[in-house]
Amino acid sequence: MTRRQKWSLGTIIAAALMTACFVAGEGGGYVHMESTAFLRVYNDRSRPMVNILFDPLVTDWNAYQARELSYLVDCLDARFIYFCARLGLTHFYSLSALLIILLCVIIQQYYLERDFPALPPWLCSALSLAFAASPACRSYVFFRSAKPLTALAATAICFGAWHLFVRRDLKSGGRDAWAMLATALFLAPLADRQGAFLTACFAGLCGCALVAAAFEPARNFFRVSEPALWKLRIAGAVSGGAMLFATLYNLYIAPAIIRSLNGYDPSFEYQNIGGGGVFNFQNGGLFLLDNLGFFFIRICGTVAFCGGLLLLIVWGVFWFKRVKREPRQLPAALLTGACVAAMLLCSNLMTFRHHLMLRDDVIHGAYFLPMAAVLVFLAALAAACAGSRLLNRVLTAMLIASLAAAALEPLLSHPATEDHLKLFKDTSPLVRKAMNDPNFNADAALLPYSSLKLVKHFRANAASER
Amino acid sequence: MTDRKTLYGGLTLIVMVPLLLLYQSSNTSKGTSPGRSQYNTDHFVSIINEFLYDKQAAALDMLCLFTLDRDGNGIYTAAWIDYVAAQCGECADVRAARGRLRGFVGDREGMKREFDAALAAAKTDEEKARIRMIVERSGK
Repeated sequence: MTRRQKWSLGTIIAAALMTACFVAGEGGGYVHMESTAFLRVYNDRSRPMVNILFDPLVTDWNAYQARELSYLVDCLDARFIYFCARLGLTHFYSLSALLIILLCVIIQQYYLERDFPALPPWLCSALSLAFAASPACRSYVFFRSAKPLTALAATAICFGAWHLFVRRDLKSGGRDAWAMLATALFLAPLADRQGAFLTACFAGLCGCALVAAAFEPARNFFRVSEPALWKLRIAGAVSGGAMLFATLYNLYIAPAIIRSLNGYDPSFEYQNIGGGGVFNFQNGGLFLLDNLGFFFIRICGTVAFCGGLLLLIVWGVFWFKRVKREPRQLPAALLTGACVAAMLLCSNLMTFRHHLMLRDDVIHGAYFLPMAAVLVFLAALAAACAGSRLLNRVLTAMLIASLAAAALEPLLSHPATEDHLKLFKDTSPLVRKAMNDPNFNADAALLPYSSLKLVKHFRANAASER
Repeated sequence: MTDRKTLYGGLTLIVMVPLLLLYQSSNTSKGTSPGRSQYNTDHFVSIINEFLYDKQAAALDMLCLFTLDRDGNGIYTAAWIDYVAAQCGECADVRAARGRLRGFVGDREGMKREFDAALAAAKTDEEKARIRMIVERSGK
């Protein structure tokens, strides 16, 4: 095992331990206000599982989004929670979220070690650990697996594609990376609408790269070899196929299954945003810049927005200067610019559709997770292209400060934010107690109405199997 | 030399991606689902109970965010606001919620009227500040 591989392994172990500490610190978690219904829905043994998964009326409040893969994972999470509760060990953690974050760190470390040899190992470790410690990753409480699954797909697509296009010494033609890339491209749209957007962006980028590579002067200047061009063609075909499949699934396949299993046509009202969302720069920009500042510099409020904006300007200037000095790095600069533009567009659409995500207590949560996964790749790309010790140190210092802030978070002062889940957090010990102890008088415990229904559902259904 | 196959392949993708996205957006079907499930109702009742019984003023704000997000013509939200009003009367928060609903359906005059009524009905300074925040956020 090389020194670099030892660093990677150490980082994965450190991320697992850190996650375990964070989980332990939450003391069993709390039941999210929407999850009370999801737990009951997914543990409804009177219906076949497939009927539940294809029933957006109960899995997504009638807001059909063609993300049945995430419902399947949610269902497994919910059944695991009931299984633990039957053993008297009630918790409200999402097992899938924990595993997915760890899997993201493993993929990051595996490919950073192989494809970014110029990066110092401590910077690679800091990137992965800061990612795992970011609030977006620390949504361990059972809610929805859509965003973690999309983050996993984003990590696989970014690092898998880079591996295929950068490495020229691939044994067996990089079959494992191809399999990972294709799986991520086809499954991301079934995980979330953000996943569908991700696949569309990748297909669009492949299209642009193919058009540029079609011209001989461009091919010669950027030294695009014939094997690289073939890989680009295959990636384009796979992503185009994935995009077509996602469209067919969303418009025809899933609605047909819903109709045959549950007897109704789903409503497309929620997922069709309209043209106004594209130009929603005020809210989308706020969401993206606030999260950028928070992810890298760990600052809150207006300062985070300004910090994010400053970071973006510095990033832009950096790439401009790099390309001026070394024009062959233009594709990397364009890739970064395209990713940032895609993230902004995605933020515009998301905030237009779901204004709630701009609330102070929600903005840094799981909605940003897939973008954080892409940011890890972009930061590694910038540092690798710069080859500057100073930049590596500054970036590492920022990430370590962010990591330290995550660890010390409970001790740090917070800006006063109104937590819309406060009631559910405050009453979660009672809910856990009521599920663990059948003799506990839940009616007298003044639980939120939905939590009380959850306790009664558990007692009526799962608890009898004890 | 220009590689035509690669060029056409790339152009196909560039054209196909936005076309497929637009094609998906063209389906504006409202479906034939019954609209509310037992769980759906439970969820909103839970939020309303926070407002009615736990005196969590932000809960009604949350209800509006949730329901307006999923509302095509405002009827769904209106039904829930009526339900709350039946329990606690036309208090400041209910009037503010009605103002937001009016704004959502494009009735600017109605929105202004409801917000003015909400401000007039607000009793404490804290309540007034909260209503003002809702009014500002709704872009009166």
